This record gives sequence, C-alpha cells and structure tokens, in this order.
Amino acid sequence: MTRTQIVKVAAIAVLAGIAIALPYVVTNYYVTLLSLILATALLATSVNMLAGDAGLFSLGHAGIAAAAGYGLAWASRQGFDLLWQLVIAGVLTLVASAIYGLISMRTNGVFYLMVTLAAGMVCFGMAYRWSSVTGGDNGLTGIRRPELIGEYWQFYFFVLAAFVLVTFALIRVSRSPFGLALRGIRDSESRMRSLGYNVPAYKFVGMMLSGVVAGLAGILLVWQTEFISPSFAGFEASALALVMIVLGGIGTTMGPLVGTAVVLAISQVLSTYVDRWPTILGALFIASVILAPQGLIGGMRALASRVRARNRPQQLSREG
Amino acid sequence: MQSRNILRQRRTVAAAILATGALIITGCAPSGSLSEDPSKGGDADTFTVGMLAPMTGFVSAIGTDMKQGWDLYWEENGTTAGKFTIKTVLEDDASSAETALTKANRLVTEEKVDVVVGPVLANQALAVADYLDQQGVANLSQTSADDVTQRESSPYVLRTGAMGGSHHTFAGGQWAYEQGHRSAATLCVDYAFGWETCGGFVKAFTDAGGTVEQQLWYPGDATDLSTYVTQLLNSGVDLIYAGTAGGTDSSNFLRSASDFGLMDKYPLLTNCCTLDQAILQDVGDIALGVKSVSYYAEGSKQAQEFVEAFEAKYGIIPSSYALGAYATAQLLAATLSGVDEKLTGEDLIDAIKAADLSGSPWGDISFDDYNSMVGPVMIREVEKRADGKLWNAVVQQYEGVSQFWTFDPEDYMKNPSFSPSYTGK
Repeated sequence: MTRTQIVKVAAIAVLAGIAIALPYVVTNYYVTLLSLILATALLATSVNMLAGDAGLFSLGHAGIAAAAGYGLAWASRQGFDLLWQLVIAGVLTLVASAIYGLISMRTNGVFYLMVTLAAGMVCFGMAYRWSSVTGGDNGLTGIRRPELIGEYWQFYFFVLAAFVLVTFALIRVSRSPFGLALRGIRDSESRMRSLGYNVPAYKFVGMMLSGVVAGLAGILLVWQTEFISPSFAGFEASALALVMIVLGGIGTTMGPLVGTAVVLAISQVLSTYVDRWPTILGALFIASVILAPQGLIGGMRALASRVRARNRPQQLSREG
Repeated sequence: MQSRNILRQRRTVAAAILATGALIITGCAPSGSLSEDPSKGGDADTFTVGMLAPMTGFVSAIGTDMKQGWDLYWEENGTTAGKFTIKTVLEDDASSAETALTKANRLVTEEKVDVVVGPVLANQALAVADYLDQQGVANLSQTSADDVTQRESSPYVLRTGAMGGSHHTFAGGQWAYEQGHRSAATLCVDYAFGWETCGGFVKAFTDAGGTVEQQLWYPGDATDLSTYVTQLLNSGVDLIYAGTAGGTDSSNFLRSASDFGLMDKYPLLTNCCTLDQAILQDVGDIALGVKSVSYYAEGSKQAQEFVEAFEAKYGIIPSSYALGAYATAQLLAATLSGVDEKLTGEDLIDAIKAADLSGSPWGDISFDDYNSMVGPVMIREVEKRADGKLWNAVVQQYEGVSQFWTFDPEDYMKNPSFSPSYTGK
C-alpha cells in the first residue's frame, strides 16, 4: 500500500469514528443540525453527480426532492402506512425525474440550466397553488418519522448510513463504464456522438440516478423537519444546492458535504451571534470563487499536492 | 491497476463496516437523551423566553418591529415579573420556515426556554407550533394563519400577538352590509394570507345578504397592479374590498387605485395590512380617507398609551407587529406576577387565559377554547394627525369578535380552509 492510500484509509476511519462518536459527545441540537447537514448534503450530492461527471448544472433539483417530500407528507397526512408513503414518494420521484430527464436530455450548458430551472419552478408553482393537496404556502405539518428512527440520534445514524451508502454507490457509478461515458460527454459531446454513443439516453439515465438521490434527500429532509412548504421546492433551495457544491468543490466526493456544512453553519449557527450573516456567506462565496475556484476541497487538494511536490517531487512523478 | 483494485475493495469494506456499525449503534441511546425533559427549564427564578423573529430575509422589517415592541415593555417595566427575572433569547428565523424550526430546536434543547414567542409568518408559525406541541413547550404565536388556532390548534399554542387572517375581516363584511352596500368585488393576494383575509370578508358579507360579483387574485410578487385595478373599474359594484399582504404590493395597489381613479369611483375597504404604518409612510396623502378593518388602530383609545410610549422611544408610530410583541410581554408579565412557582407548557397557557385581560392595548380581550383572542375589531379611516403624520383612526368598533364570527366552531371548521376555490360564498 502506498503512503497516499494509507492516509486515505486512515482518514476514512477517523471520519467514521468521529461521525459515530458525535451523538455521544455533543447535544441534541447539534446532532439534529448534523442530520440536517447530511440530508441537505445528499441533495447537493445529487446535483454534484451530474455537475461533476456529466458537466450538467441543474438549477431545479429541489423540485425533485420536493416531489418526493410532498408525496411522503401527503400520504402521511392521509393516514397511509409507511410502506405506501414510501411507494408514493418513490413513484413521484421517478415521475419527476423522468420529466426532468426528458425535457433536459437534448440540451447542455446554459440551456440545461434554464430547462431545469423552469422544471423546478413548475414544481414550486404546484406546491404553492395546489393548496387542497399541498396546503399552499402554509405547507403540511404533523408528519412523523417512523418510530424506529423517531429519536433524534436514531435519525442521525439513519441519515449518516444513507449518506455513506449513497456516496459509495455514486463512486461506483462514477467509475463504471456508464460514469466514464458521462465524463466523455462532459469533455466532448460531439466526439461521444461520433463514437456512436446515444448521448441523450446517457443524460436521461444520469438524471434518473441523480433524481433518485434527490428524492431520497427529499424524504430525509421531510423526516428531519416533519414539515414541508413550497420553499422546499423553491429556486433558493435549488440555487443553494449549487452554491454548496461550488463552495465545496464540484466533482469531489466530500465537496457537497463540506459546502453544505459551511453554508448551514453560517445560516443556522453563526446567525445566532451575528446579525449580518448573509453578508458573511456572500463574501465567503466570492472569496472561494476567486481564491479557490476548485472549491474548498479542490483548493485543499491543490495546496496539498503543491506541498507534496515541493517535498518529494520524485514521488509525485511516479504517481502521475 | 492491482493497487487500485485493492483500494476499491478496501473502500467497499470500509463502507460496509461503517454502515453495519451505524446500524448496530442505533440500538444504544446516548446517555441522558431519554431522561431529558425539555419542558422544564434550568433556573427556578429565571424565566427564559425564546423569541423567533425575522431579523433577516424578506420580512425583516417585521422582525425589527417585534423586537422594538418587546424591548419597550421590559424597559418600561423592568425585567422582573413577580418572583421571576425575565431573560430573552432572540433568534433570527431568516423569514424561512426551515430556519425557524432549527432555531426553535435550539431554543428548546440548548437554551431550555420556558416559552417561545413568535414566529410571525404563517408557514413558520404552523411548523414551529407543531414542533413545540410535541415538545410540550408553550408557544405565544404572533401569526395571522387561521389554522394555528383552528384546524391545527394545540393546548400549547396561544395566539397573543395577532388575530387570524379571516378573524379580523369578518367585521368588514358585516360593516359593509350595514353601510348599505349590497354587491362587492374583491382583489386579494394569491396565497394563504390573502385567501383568508378575503374569505373572512366574503363569508360575512354574503352571509349578511350581500353578493360578491367578481374576485381577482394577484401573485404575491406582482409589481404592477394596474391591470387588476382597471378590471375593477368596470365592475359596477357598490364596494371594492382589497386584501393585500402589507409589503410593496400594498403601496403599489394604493398608487394604482389612486392613479386610475378607483378610489373616486368606488368606496374602498381594505384589510389590516394594506394601511399599515410602513405603507402609510411610503404612499403618503393618497391614502387619506381610505377605510380598513383591523384589530389594531394607532388612533384607538386602548392603544394610545402604547403608541405614545413607542413614539417617544423610537420616533415612529408603531405597527401591529410591535404591538403584538408588546402585548404578549404584558400578558406574560401579568401572569407571572401572580404565581409562586414557575409555569410552563399547558399550565402557562391556561394561566394566561385565566388572567385579567381587560385594559390591554388590544382592548378588552379574552381567549376562546381554541386559544385565539376574542376581542375588538375596528373599522378604521386614514387621517392626518395634528403633526402631519398619517394614522388610522377608529370609525366603528365591534367588541368581542370571535375567530368563528357568528358561526358554530365545530360546523365552521368542517368547511375547507380558505382558498381561491372556497371563499365562503
């Protein structure tokens, strides 16, 4: 095993240890906040998967999460049991993802951004106006988590497990031939087309996979807050997901988590002590785009490799 | 290539271990988490109030008003109530329901507050009330959302800082009919608050015998309301009723209504928020003489003392949100002065309901079985004060108005919540 591998495995072990130990160390509020961060990071991860692998930036993923969330919330309010709640949420996720996929699969770049933005706004509009089902602007309250994960710390472990599993699954997807094809499309769509790849089909499947992750995030977020309102599907939620991955580092595995943690730490924790927290968030975002365009993870990686290159230039050349 | 495979395997193994570990751990609770009772605060002599107010976001002006009203009461009267020292923990809810929920969680589990005051937006209030109801923590709500004290009412939630969206507009419908108006057209903002504020008027007006001929809805972020105003110009009705949200939409409506001569052609009645102080300062004299229906009037007798004190301190005439926070502080102080032991949860709510509530700046109020205020609602008219400032003076006051107006609560709540497809016609 090379040194880098040892470092990586050790880092994963330490992170896992910390993640598992945390609920025994910090209080209820911070554990709940961590669950929120992990669930939100899952939404950011779903955006990151498309952005990193396929180079497709979605501005509407909160709409898919909201479709799942509203499905779950509505079914729960109607008195359906857990299985049916999940079935309804799942079906809505697939339908929403399929619609997103169909209308966006022949576009790229800024057009992809616009089409997904429009789809997100349609989801928001439905949540906002179809008040007999969605509760309109008031949203739906009185949703309860399943008993098995009812306690805050049980829910934390559940979200943690979901996040870890999804992250590893997406690493596998990214390294599969399918993931490689997506990266090919990102780098040169015309070449992939001339090589005989059905580019729209790949984009469609990519959206479906990403949508499933977003739907899972939606379910977890509704269980987290036990409440859903149209802002869940709104532009701000979609845009924040994008901000989070840009801040953390597009295409990196831990980028979405780091970005989400930073954004939520500022909006939820720092806001208790500082009135002008939105200014800090904005300044941080600008600073990161200028100073670390690869995001916090990307910036740290660049820094680390620069240090390594200075210390052991021969090692770097062998790895490269 | 081989080392990559090994790495991949290791990662898969690590993932499996982590996932299993997480599942196993789920079996054992962190120590203390089960024995904690969040409804009991720490110190026996300190009564901690958690306040959720929008200090940032699209309604941050309301947050400032609430804070000023709240602070004013404790500065006037000192932060001691009976045997207790009042400690306030203010949290910014960022005008967002999700943030309000996380902050409510912080107030309950970290600050161990004895009561939560706020929040003000409808979706925030419903979400936070649901959370506090589960935690058994008392909530003194500041919102206008009908269902907080109707279909979603809770023994832990008392609405002390406002009246419901339809609650305060019923009297407007009744008054309009009493004035001899028999047909009306409505223009309201197209979300829950607008639906409710329209529904109250329409239900009472049609119940009295009037007819509503035309109902228009505009999106909350509309910047130009002239198209709606011109439609109303040709409605040929006896009265126009407008229910706006109290933001820039209200100013825009008043300007358009004035420019296109709607105010000259038809009598106009609006809801509470169309003629709020912030709007009056914005639009100026064109609002003179416009009538509205609300649970608060700057010119009312009962609010005079509060208005003078507020103006002396902050230099502006207070809004209803400032009064909501002030009156809530007053109720809390009055209740705590009379007790020996700290009251929390349902006991606190019951004690506030049982306290002597006459002579509050809302007027003589009481609380109904669903924890909503029963109190005066005023028909108001914008007047110019001697010093040139605009305010709402009282034209007529309806005493003891219930959130169910004249209807039976049980029957009333069988109706769907107000929406564009149901406004009580």
